[in-house]
Amino acid sequence: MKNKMPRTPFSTPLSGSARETEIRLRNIFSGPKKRPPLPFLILMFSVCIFCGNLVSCQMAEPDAPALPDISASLPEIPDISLPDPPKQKPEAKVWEYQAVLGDLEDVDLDGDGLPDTVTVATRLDPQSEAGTYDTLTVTAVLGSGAELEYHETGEPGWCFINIIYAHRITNPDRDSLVLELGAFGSTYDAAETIVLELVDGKLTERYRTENSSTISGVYSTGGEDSPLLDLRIPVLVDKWHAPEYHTLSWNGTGWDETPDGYFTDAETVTVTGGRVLTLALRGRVTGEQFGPHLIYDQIQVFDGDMMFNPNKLLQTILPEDIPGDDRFPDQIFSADGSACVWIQDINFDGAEDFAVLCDSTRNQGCRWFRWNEGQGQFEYAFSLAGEVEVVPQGQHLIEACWTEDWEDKLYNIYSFNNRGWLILESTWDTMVEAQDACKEDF
Amino acid sequence: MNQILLTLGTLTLGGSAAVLLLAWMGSSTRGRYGAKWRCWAWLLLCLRLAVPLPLVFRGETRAPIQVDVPNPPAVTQPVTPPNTPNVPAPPNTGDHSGPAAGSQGGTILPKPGTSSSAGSPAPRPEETPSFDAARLLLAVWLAGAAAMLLWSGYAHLRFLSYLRRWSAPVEDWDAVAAFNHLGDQLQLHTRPRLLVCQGLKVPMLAGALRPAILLPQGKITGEELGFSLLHELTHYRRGDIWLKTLAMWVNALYWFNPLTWYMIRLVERDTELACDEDALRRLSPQDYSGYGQTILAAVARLQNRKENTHEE
Repeated sequence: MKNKMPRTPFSTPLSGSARETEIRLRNIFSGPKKRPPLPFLILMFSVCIFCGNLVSCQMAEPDAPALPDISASLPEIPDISLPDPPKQKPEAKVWEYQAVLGDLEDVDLDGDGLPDTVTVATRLDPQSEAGTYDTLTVTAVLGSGAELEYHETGEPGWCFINIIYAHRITNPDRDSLVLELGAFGSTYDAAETIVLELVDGKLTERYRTENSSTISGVYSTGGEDSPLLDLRIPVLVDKWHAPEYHTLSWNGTGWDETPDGYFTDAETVTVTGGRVLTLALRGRVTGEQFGPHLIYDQIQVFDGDMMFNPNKLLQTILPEDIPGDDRFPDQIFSADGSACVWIQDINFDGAEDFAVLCDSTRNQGCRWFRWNEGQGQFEYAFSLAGEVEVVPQGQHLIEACWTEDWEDKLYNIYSFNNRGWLILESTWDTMVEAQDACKEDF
Repeated sequence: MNQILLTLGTLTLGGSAAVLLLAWMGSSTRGRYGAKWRCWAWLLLCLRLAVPLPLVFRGETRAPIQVDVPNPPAVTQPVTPPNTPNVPAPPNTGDHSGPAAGSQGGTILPKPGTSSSAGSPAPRPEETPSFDAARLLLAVWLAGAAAMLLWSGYAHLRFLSYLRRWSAPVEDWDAVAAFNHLGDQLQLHTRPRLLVCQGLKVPMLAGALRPAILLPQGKITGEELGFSLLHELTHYRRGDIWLKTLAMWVNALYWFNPLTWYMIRLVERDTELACDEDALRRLSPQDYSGYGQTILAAVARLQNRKENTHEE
């Protein structure tokens, strides 16, 4: 049989090449293969579909053919002189700020008892050749008439004069100047604090923020057993929470820096009769270095505004005092993320209640505390999942929670019985159905 | 015409980049990821290249890579001026109510010497033979593509003719039983024909419209037959012939691009690998070595034939 079979492109013939065979055998014995990750597939398929858009060909414009010289046949045009158009320079926006500490502030930088005047000026020139570039100039006119100047250039970005004041910070006999400069273009209020002191007739830098997470809001507070004031520097925790403060104390030769180790978020609650209470939620970072969590380790309830009535503490709530339940057994208050405190009248008594996140892993479990007017305190009421929908008609609560398999959400309708206990009434597949059920019940 | 060439140039450059990228991704991830996904990628790429038309999205402005290609000289077909020798121009009376000589869209343009030329035959432009590179390129491309398609068609006709002459339905009961069993196992509602063919050394699937599994005459039995049928039926189930046909069409369109020829090789390789992976899913790990042995035996038979041919 010496027929030679012709080849056809519409077939799956075996390739006799050793290399192809080796690849096939390797593939057979290398075990089962995985599906590539989704981004890989998307990249691969996108390249295939959009390969025609990767490259664009266009005709190069041909050189224009030389036109015949027709100048000789044209009539002579008289010279017309037009005024030169005004030269337009590109607009260079330069940012300049100035602040003055004068007689009213009672500044005494040299300790001679005479009031001094301090002028702080900043200038930011984004158009400069060196990129964003600014200057800081501090000019002090002392009571004696002497004029001093502190000048620095090249620190990019800090140009807004947020805070400026003078206090006994580094020397009990004379004031130091505290400057807080805001960062140009910062979205989280980044700021730098500088402390200047008059040393040997010169304004000298005593401190400059080194932590890149410092934000605006520096202030001074009375130092314990010391004529000097401490500096309180706010350090960003995250954009959803209040900053953590670091206390800076001058020890005669250098600075002692002590972080608070916590931050305090404040929320306002309006209870019966329009009475305003303040919740001070003390938070801190916990967990491992690469898996940190934020928690609240205590909630203090103050009467009125905490800033003005700091001593009128009504109660302190600790997470370990709140019993866990089957769904949310952990006895913690979580502060992870933006939504970790809810304030709402949950039991339809006209007073706002509040909830704190206790489980951020699955169903956003919340511990609800309701206001007890008789005791003048909040009391733990129940735990519900997620942001609860309050339906005033018929006084229902709708809770949305995930099923065990994470496939769907279930919507539970609750109402309060005569004793004020929360009773589960029914469960629905959609929020619309649950809302309709609440209306029908009403 | 130029637009077709530009689109072809765009697609062949973009397609080349895609082929290189897929080849690199394929070789670097072959041990980890199945070949099925590469087959899908080849299918998408072939579908994109199969129609050499621009795919334009709203809002799209520029491709990441811009390539200037030389502009072939434009067609210099002489254009008949309004004042043809046979059609005398209306006299320029200054009445602007209708289009006059030298006017465009109702706007009167100064035309020196109009008065002297009005009514007289205009000089006929010299008719020079024009050389149109774009047309030539298009003609060459079309000729190449047509040649490729004709050659493929001719090869297939020869193959069909051979098949008519030398093939016959399989009558071996074991082979038919194995074929039916595997067809049921693969849940094939329609099945290819099963033919035995003289001159064939190893089994294969052939034909796009009326596919057939071709078996060599009396050489394969037992386990080897089962694995071979499983492999070819898996090819049939996956529709690999259609992918190869599409790739062939793309190759015919982009015959001038060596990377398209390379792509054909990669498509063939990846369809074989994907088919193996698919077939192995229906086998127990103990059968893998038998499956591999079947491939080796088939390659050995092919090599034998080559050696015999050389000896002859």
